[in-house]
Amino acid sequence: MTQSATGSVLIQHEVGLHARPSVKLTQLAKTFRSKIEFGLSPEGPWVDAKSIVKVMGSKTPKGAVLHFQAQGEDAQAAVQALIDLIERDFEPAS
Amino acid sequence: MTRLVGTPAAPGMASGPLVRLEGGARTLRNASSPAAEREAIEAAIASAQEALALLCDQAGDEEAAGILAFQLALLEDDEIVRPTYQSIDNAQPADRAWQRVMDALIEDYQKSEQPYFRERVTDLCDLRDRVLDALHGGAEQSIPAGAIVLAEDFAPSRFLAVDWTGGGLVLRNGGTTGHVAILARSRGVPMLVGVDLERVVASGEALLDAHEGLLVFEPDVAEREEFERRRAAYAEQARADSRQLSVEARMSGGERVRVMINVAQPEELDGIDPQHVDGIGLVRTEFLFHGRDRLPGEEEQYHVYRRIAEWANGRPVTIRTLDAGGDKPIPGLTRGHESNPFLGVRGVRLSLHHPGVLMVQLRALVRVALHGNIKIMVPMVTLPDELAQCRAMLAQAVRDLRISGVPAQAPALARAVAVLPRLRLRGLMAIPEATDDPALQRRRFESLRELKDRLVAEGIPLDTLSMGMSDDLEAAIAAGATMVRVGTAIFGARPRVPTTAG
Repeated sequence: MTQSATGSVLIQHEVGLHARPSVKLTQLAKTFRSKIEFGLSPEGPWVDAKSIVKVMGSKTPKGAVLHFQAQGEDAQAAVQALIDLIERDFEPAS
Repeated sequence: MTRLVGTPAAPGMASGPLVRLEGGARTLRNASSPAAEREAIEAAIASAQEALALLCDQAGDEEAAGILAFQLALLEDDEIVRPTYQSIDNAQPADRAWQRVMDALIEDYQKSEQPYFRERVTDLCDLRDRVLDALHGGAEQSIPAGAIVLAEDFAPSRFLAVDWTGGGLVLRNGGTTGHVAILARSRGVPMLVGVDLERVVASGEALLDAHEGLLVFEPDVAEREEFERRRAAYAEQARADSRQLSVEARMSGGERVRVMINVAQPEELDGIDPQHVDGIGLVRTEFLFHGRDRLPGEEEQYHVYRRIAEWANGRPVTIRTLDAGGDKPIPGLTRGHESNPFLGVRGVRLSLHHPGVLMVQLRALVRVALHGNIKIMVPMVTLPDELAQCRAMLAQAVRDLRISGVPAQAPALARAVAVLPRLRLRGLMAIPEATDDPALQRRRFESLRELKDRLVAEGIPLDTLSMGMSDDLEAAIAAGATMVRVGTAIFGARPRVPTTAG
């Protein structure tokens, strides 16, 4: 069943969405079947959260708020997982 | 124009056929069918992925692994793969399709306001070239033995793969202190740099005089005779010089001077007689990284250092821990684009940022100290604490090696016993700690077997390996035991004897 989900989270990582956090974010996003995007404002423009080129290309600095939107059978879980990842500052889940 | 001048980078004289190498540019692919080009790029990306995944596993520290993971993620990204396929479907060859996509991304990063993104350009170029190399299959123009090679530039790893007997090297770029020049000098390969190759129209025979800095094309008889006359004179001079080599160095007042050599590549030792030197004053270990982006493992380092130590045959050998950074960047290890890299994170400062890398090197050095007179030099120390940290890590390496069962003193003891006239050393015996872990049992037994093999290779004829008891004899036999102890299996466990004080 297709769901859609949204959520937002503050980037607290010291350097923003640099290579290593971006790799973790895209790796996690790819484990979901839903289409997942984020924007730096609730109106977009939207960035494909599964593409390292796009995620790095967003050049998201520390202190920015990421607005996620997802569509697909696991949209809710996807948004929750990505927000969790950012909230624990990209560290592995304990 | 039959003569060109250049700067001598390595002395010597050579005559032979000219071989001109294409100026570093890769041979481009011809587009076959889009289907075939798709297949080619798929295979190249897969091989790059495999290589990167392997590097990632072996990186040994988080920093390098993180950089490699970034490259891996890029290879899996549709944003890169899709436009590459689109170009291929529009009849582009795979290499140009890939390069176009990557170059666009690289340009985007280069233009970034933020230094962080500009610094990632190195990674992107690295990735671009890795896939291009896979596409081109690394096919390089072959160089016949004895040729005089003309090229824009030359890679050290390639230099070592060529048979230079009778030949020489002429470069447009490169300096007299570059790695290739150092190699050329140590191997006696005549070499010139800074030669204006665009003015070379001739082919066929040439004469290279790397004493005078001259390259002569299509020589006439008089030029040939003159060349041979000078070659004979230099050869005579070289013979006279070589007689000095075995003379002990002394000041006019009789004071002995120790003459030590520097080693930047282990291959340099091939042409040097250890009798002519008093030791090695400095072994630079950066060569371990040349031509690759993998951090070499402990075993590999150990074998390289050991070869050097054995060459020196008891003479002192000072080995410097990795001195990367500054003018010696190493991808995946040093930081890109520091505002002043010469004063930046380099030498011991870099090593202490990557303690995992330093520890591997220290362990290899501790192990090799059993085979020679090894001293360790720590580069670029500015604070006493840096040296203290290195000392602590060295002590830790010694402790760890002891616990891990590499018997540090055993080889020296075996050698001492083996020379005693009325004793015959038959073998080695070990009782490792009791454990139910078969992998650990096996490791311990194998390390004893390796020690025995090493001693046998040294000429100590051991035939016995006594290891393994009732509970661990299977692992011991698998590792090569010739004698096991099975008392417990036959008679049962003995009652514990109470220990008494005193």
